[in-house]
Amino acid sequence: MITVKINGEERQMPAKGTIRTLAVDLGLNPETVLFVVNGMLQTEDYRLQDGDEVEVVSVVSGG
Amino acid sequence: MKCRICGKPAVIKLRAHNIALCPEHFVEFVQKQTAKAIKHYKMFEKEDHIAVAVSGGKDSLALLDILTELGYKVSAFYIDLGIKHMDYSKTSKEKAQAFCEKKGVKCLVYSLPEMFGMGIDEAARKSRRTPCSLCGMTKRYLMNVAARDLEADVIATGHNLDDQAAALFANLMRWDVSYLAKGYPVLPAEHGFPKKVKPLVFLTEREIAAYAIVRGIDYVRYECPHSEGARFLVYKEHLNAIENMSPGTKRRFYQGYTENIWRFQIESPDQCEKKDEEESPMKPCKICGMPTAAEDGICSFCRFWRPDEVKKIKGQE
Ligand SMILES: [Zn+2]
Ligand SMILES: [Zn+2]
Repeated sequence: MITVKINGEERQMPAKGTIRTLAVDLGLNPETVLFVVNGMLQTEDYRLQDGDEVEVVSVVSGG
Repeated sequence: MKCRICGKPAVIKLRAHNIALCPEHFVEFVQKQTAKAIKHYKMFEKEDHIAVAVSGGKDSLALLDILTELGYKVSAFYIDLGIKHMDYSKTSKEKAQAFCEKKGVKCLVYSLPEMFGMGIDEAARKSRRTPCSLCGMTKRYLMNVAARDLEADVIATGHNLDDQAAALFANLMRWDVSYLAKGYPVLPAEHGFPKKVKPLVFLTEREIAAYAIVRGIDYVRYECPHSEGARFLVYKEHLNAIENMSPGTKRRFYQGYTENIWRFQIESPDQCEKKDEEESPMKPCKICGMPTAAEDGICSFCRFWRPDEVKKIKGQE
């Protein structure tokens, strides 16, 4: 297992987990979010490392 | 994943276009899509002066960035609605102004609290109107004033593909035919009001948010607490669910509509009759001089806000 920070909160994940598996775990539609890992935008095949800080940016706005 | 163009590590995959791109080529992609929409819908020409409505959000600041990078002559204006909740207006104004300054773009601020001593919430409470209906009327008016003050040829707003597709979806579900006749991304100059355009209609919210992140644009992440558009959120959600199964749906939906819009612009016999009776000519408002069709000659902005001095309705640099 590895530990990553999602929007500031720690979360355990299986090693070799990707952003895609994280999105599925969180129940997110990939069309509505972006993932910024350690300050860099990343594609969904990015393999998460122990200690990564992930920011999930919701892209849907009201008006 | 690697960039389709240069092979460097990609930062975003665009399933609707079946490509992944690195930061450099993604920025190029977004700017090209905007240029394409401007050309496709004949929005404006290189020599035109464009007034961009900036709100401090991702869309309008990205639009300002893209248009300046494409070499257009751009000015900006910000409408301060005086919304105090979570310092919304204060923060969004700061972000809008800071970005304009960074880009070397002139920005006029029209502040309701400064012009009339109150913000949109207080005014809505006093008049028992909803903040959103009041806000819509006030913004439409001040946009025209800003274009006049900036001597701009056209007003550009940051509406994106998701905004347009969600509005289309919602209005189709209700068969709001009067909307369906005018959901085009270009509204021509009319009755003395300038042309209004939406250059980001080929880009999804996700693409624009990614552009803002890659370009390091500092935008307000939270929303106007009233957000009239909140009623479109459920439509956006459903469209995105379909988009996830079938990438490119949103674009085909909206672009197909713009090609078929003439079908909604044919007037029913009913409407033709009404038009003959109702057509009232536009004349200058007795108070502010902006065009109005109101019978008493006072525009809806002046009727509500009652400016004691017309000089007061002006932007500050
Ligand atoms: Zn590249
Ligand atoms: Zn008036």
